[in-house]
Amino acid sequence: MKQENWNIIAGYLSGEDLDDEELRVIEQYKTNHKEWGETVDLFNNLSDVAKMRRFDAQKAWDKLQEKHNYKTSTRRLSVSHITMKYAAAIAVLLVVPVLFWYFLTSQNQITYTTANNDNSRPVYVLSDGSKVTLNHGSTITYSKKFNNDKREIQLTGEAYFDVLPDAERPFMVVTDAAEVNVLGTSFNVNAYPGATNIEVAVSSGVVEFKSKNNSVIQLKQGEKGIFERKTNKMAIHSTFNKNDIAWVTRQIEFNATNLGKILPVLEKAHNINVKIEDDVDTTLLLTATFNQQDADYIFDVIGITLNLEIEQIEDDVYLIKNIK
Amino acid sequence: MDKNEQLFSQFLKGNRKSFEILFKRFYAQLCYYAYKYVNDFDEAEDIVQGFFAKMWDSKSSVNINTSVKNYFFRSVRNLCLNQIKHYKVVDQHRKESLRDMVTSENDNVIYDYALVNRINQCIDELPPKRREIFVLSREYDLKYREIAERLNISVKTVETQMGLALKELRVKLGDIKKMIIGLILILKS
Repeated sequence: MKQENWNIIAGYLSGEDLDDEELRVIEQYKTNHKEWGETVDLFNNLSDVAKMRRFDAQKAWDKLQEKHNYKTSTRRLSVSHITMKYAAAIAVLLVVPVLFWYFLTSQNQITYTTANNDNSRPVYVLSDGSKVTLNHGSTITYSKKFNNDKREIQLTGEAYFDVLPDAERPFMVVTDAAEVNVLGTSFNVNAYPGATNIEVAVSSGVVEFKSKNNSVIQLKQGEKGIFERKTNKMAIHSTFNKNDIAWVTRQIEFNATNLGKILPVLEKAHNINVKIEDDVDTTLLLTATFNQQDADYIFDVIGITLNLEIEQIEDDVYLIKNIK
Repeated sequence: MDKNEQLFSQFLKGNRKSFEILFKRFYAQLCYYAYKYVNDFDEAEDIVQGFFAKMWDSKSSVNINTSVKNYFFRSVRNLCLNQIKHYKVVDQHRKESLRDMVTSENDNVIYDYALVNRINQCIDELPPKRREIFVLSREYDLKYREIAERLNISVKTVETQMGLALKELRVKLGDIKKMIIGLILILKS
């Protein structure tokens, strides 16, 4: 059966409104396929099970343990009452400063982190109104006093910044080996710790890109600055590829680009792995623009256009092969 | 795998590890079983946890003359029935589930539990985004439009992902009927 028909059936069973054409498909399926009943049963079962709680034995066990441990410890307290009192006093003396310190630091710092497989790309609005979009496997940390005199933010990984202009309070992104100073602009900082380079791509305005050993370059709109970790060298590329920030814009453009170059772009934009069989011709050219489409859709287009078979072999792994 | 009976007699001698194994082996099954009576997830968990806690506390006086599995299920059932009796107003649904369940056999519950597990497993195996969409639709009963807004994707994408999910689950769970028959045969043998 065609995928389109599965979509219609799923919509019908989910209670979505269908148009006449779609309803005709349903009627046809009902009369012509004896597994219609089975599909309905399955879908109802799926809905019921999805709504059921998943009883977590480990959690329940921990809860039970807690109750029992509580009982035993109160009994012990009554046996040697005085000793326990002193122990408790000492414990309080030890614990209070730690808690206080923890309270202070947690009050002062705000941290956001995304996991390596987190492709949700959360957008955080800072207290000054600037926006940060966080790519997978990344962390930003900033002080609660962020807005007072300077706007400083620590980054590990990759983030896209949309900074509100404020000449009084420069905006500063600090990474492990370089920093970026700006007044008001949008730009992307790619500073994954293991990577060869730290890259800054500017989509509007001007930024100052400074390494830890104080080399400084100015980057204008449309430029990309590259800092090579090993040599501490900095360089300006006069054009940055819009596809570099596709992970945040979800806009990808290929202009007679060969398959070999397309794949790294897609891998970066969608945080996936693409494997390719040896006999596939990587010089095949593709011209296409994608806007907001997911990886499945893009691979459908590539498969049809270049006459290739593309299979999703794991959640985030795709395999490209020739049609046999 | 250790035999239930063996673990149970070790537990009666105060072996906490054996008790833990039995607890984890039966917890979810008993919760599903209890849920069928009380029709409330929290209450089901409370009853099953209460049963195990009480059993641990009174292990010196526990004496069973049937299989451990039977003893667990029968005890939880009695606790559920007591619980239901406590309600001053028994609503229609509870009355119905009571009538249906009083005569039911433990074995039915086991395959229900296996079935629930199997379905959950297949849902979990969907690609993450597809799974998220599917769960929002089926668990939270959101309309496609609401899902699209929440995830910032097009309604068309939701449609496609739901279609793909249905197709995938249909293939994976196509042998559900076979599975039930297989399980009953195993249990009866």
